[in-house]
Amino acid sequence: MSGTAAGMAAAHVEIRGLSKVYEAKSETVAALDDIALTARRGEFVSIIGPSGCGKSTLLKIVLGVLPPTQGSITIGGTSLDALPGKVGMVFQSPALPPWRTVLGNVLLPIEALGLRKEDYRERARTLLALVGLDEFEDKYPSALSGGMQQRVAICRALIHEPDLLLMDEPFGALDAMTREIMQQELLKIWQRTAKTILFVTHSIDEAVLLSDRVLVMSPRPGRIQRTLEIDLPRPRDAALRATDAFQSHALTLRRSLDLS
Amino acid sequence: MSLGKGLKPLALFIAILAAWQAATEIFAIPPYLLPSVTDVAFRIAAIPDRLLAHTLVTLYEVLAGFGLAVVVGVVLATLIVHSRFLADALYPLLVITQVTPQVAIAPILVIWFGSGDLPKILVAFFVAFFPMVVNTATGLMQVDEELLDLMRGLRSSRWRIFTMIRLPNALPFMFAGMRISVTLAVIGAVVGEFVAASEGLGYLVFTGTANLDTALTFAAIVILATLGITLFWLVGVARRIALPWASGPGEGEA
Repeated sequence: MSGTAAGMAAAHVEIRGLSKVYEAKSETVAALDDIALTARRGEFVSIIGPSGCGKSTLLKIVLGVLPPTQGSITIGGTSLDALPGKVGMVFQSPALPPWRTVLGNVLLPIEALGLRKEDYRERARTLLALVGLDEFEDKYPSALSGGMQQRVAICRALIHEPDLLLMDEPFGALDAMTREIMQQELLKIWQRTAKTILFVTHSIDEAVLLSDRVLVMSPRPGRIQRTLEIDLPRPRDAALRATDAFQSHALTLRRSLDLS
Repeated sequence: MSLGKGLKPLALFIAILAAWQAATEIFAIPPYLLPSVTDVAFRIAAIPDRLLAHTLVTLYEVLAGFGLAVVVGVVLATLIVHSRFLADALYPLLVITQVTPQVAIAPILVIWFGSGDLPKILVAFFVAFFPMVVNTATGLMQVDEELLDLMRGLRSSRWRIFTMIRLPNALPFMFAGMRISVTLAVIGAVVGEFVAASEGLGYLVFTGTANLDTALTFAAIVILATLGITLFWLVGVARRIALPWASGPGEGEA
């Protein structure tokens, strides 16, 4: 389904023939096998699959911290290697250094890239205001709840205006209610910033609610087994969950994952 | 931080002093064996200038040895963390310096460097630097892997990751190391003074016992204990000022 002519023409992020093989002493383990993935500019793509299917490995390769065995990743036609700072990352844990204030944490990528902090301070404040944390910029992370910390992590992933936002189960550690609130926050941020998002999740419900497209991965070696377009209307909110269309998509995903 | 928590050790301390005072009087213990609390107090009050001069000598040796231990400890830890080769080469040597009783090195240092300040500073340094190395190395290593991935994803250099992430991450560990090191440095300086010295609190302890002036020995010990506690406390104060984000409960356990 992702291979339509229109989809290919507008491809913003393009992953081709990506494999990852780990070589241990006596055996080789194939973690990812021939992954192909394209995303249009501003598209919300989720990756779902059982534990050990290589979802996180895939994100680490796209982030550029793990070299692929084979394959290429391009953003806007340029190889990712030539584009430092074009990717933003949110992990399951907020990973906020405790010695930096909220504002200092959001500005971390700016310092890491060697840019001038002064030029981005206003942008950082705008992002914090977007997630309702503008009053907290001088607080340390230890004073914030888990959900608030993750909001800071999202602001940090967006501060350097990346072309692609990677999210590795960003709400996996939050309680169910905070998780629902964060999903709505993310949809709001995504609509304002129009970022292309690659979102890894364990949750069928979350994948259907957020995504334009869901890729189902199979384990060992990780392959993209199925692609599902989620053509539900936007803007979406929690009430969408009760609709038949939502349930039908969820059921399709459930079947692809052999859960029912 | 409750009042009761601070009062309990104080009450116990006063009780011990009272028992000590009572024992010396009831059993009529001769002062050269165990001077009474008041004997020691009077001895301190009688020669404040002389005691202060000796205290300043020892304080100087302690601070110099401690400062050296902090600098060398942090540098060694950085080398160990950043190079597998240096870690393999340095670590066994560091362990050897620790299993060798530093007290045994002191006489050699006196032969090499004379009976001035230097050998005492070096003994204080030798005793105090190891906790700095271990704590700093732990703090430099124990960094959130995802935070490192984030920095690497932004193509940060190792140097930038070191200054932005590893070093600040190690600061609470370094302060924990300093608390141990500063008290060890006091021990080191006194050991150095035992071997050969003409001044310092260790020298007073030594001459006090040699002349059966046990009250003087106790006076020096009391000042040494006070010195150690004060330095330990000052490191805690410095930590609270330097690391406002790490204050509150759990302090010092990092």
